[in-house]
Amino acid sequence: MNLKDCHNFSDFRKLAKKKLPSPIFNYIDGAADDEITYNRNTSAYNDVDLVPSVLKGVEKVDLSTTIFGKKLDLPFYCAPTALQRLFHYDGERAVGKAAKKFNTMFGVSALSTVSVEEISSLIDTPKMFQFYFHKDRGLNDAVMERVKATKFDVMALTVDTITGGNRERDLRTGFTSPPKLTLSSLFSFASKPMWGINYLTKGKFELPHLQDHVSEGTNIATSIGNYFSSMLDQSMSWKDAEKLCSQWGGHFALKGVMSVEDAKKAIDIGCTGIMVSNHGGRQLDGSRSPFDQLAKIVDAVGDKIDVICEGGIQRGTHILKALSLGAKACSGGRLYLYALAAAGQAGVEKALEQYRAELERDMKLMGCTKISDLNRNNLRFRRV
Amino acid sequence: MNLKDCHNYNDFRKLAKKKLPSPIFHYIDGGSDDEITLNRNTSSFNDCDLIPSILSDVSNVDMSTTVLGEKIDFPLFPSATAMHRLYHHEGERASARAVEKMGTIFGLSTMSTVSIEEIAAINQGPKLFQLYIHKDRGLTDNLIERCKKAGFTSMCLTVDTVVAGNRERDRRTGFTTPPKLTLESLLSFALHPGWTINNLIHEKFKLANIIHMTQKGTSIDKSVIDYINEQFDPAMNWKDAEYCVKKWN
Repeated sequence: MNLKDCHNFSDFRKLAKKKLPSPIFNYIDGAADDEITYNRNTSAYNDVDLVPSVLKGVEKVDLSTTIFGKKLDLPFYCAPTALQRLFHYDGERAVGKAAKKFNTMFGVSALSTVSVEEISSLIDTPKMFQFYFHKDRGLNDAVMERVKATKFDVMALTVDTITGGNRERDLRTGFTSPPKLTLSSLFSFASKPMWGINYLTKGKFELPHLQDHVSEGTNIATSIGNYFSSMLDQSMSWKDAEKLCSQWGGHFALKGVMSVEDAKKAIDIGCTGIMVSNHGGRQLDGSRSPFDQLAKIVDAVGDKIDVICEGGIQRGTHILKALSLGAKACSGGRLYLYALAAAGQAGVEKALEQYRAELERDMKLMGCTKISDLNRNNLRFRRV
Repeated sequence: MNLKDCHNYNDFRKLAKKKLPSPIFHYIDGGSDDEITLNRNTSSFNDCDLIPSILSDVSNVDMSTTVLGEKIDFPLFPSATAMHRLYHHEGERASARAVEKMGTIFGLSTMSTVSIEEIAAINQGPKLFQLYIHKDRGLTDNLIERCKKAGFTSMCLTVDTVVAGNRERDRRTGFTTPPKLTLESLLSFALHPGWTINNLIHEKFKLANIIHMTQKGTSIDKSVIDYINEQFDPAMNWKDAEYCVKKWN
């Protein structure tokens, strides 16, 4: 199996599984507790049916949309995710360049393995930075200043990782970054020699935004769950978020909003957008899926801020359904991470092109030629 | 697989399955009839979604709650269950100690294999006794009196076992206490020598609370189902319950 055999999300996942040592694959693939929320994030889309309109003249379809004041060619983008060079040696470089090619938003995590400066020099298309609120306020300020200096377009504050999720697959595999070679995982690393050779020869693994501030920066010999639990500030409040928002002074989003009340408060503190998200099911298992919660949030705040539906998206029709409910755009992590692991930049480009082509085809079949054509008349829910 | 590999409920279940002779594992693991209610008991939680609130300063979390007049450190306590020494030779002693450590209520069954008095000496925390009304009212009175004396903090009367459930797995495995070594189950006991040795070298298995009151206490050559049907009073009504409440006071 290789890149040319990857026709959809599932294929990329299979190829990634073949290429990655199992602790790393399971870090991407796993979620919290029983992974019920993780699965619901995708299956929720199947509880609503599409109702197409016919005979509309659909030879030209415009997929562009505007979020955070930026016009994107696609109504979906690469959500920020951590540690991308663990998945492919090019890491964020590969994903950033692929996003640029499609003129869509590229999200960079505070836990990225390529610096914001380098990303900024590589791509001039819209960029979002995902901020984690650390106990160390010096670190927070320094990160904020660096991102400002590199002219990122959007700052997204993560609000759903106040403590680490219970990612049991990581507990079983002993996932740490850099990987800890326990006896049990050694075989898995040994059986994927290309990954190991690339990891060792393609440049040192670093967390450039943290390494000057914390000893964990250069060598997080801890799980991500532990990192969240020990480094992030659990006292984070609306006041802190408001301060960060004004410190940034540009487009500011909260990533991980699920309740209508919180969505309204986000407007009050000056946010211009929110990501309806449960962190890919990786934090609170049992949490409602973004798609299940989307309509309520759009009804409450959709005319005032950009509502992004994040998580569970594996198909063009999923994007179509979320946009029909009123999301301004969709985003996802696994959406492109399996493709990154499978084949680097070429993989991410192929994945983005497939979602683009699917969405274009689905729009035509729906009888729609632009994003603003999508609305709830396109949908019928099976159960209310 | 061992304790350090147990990250969740399911892992413990797997390890227990490895350690126990199958009739005993299935006595714990089984439900009645087609086990639809057993499964639904857990799956119903999945029909409800959580909607988190964000940015609310969660640096300090207090999980304590007050139930049955007792303040406990976290809002979960192990229900009273029968015959712990079948599952591990320390039985209720082990569970009572662990529960005391967690600062929550320990539930002790009428059908326990360690006595009310011994548990009271081991566990200083809040303790609940699960009472079955026996046909022999003297036995019921005696249990209530002993719990009072031993300082148990609450009494609960079991009202859903007026007749025994149809636990088909027990019928198939021939589960009795002490285990009846049928040909069928013999192999399973032989395959779990650790359990069998512990069962043989430690004190004799007995229903410690009722041993002196009924011959059945010393050696129930009956299945639990038969015991329930013979000893528990199916005529139990609201008057009997009221009597127990008054008696316990």
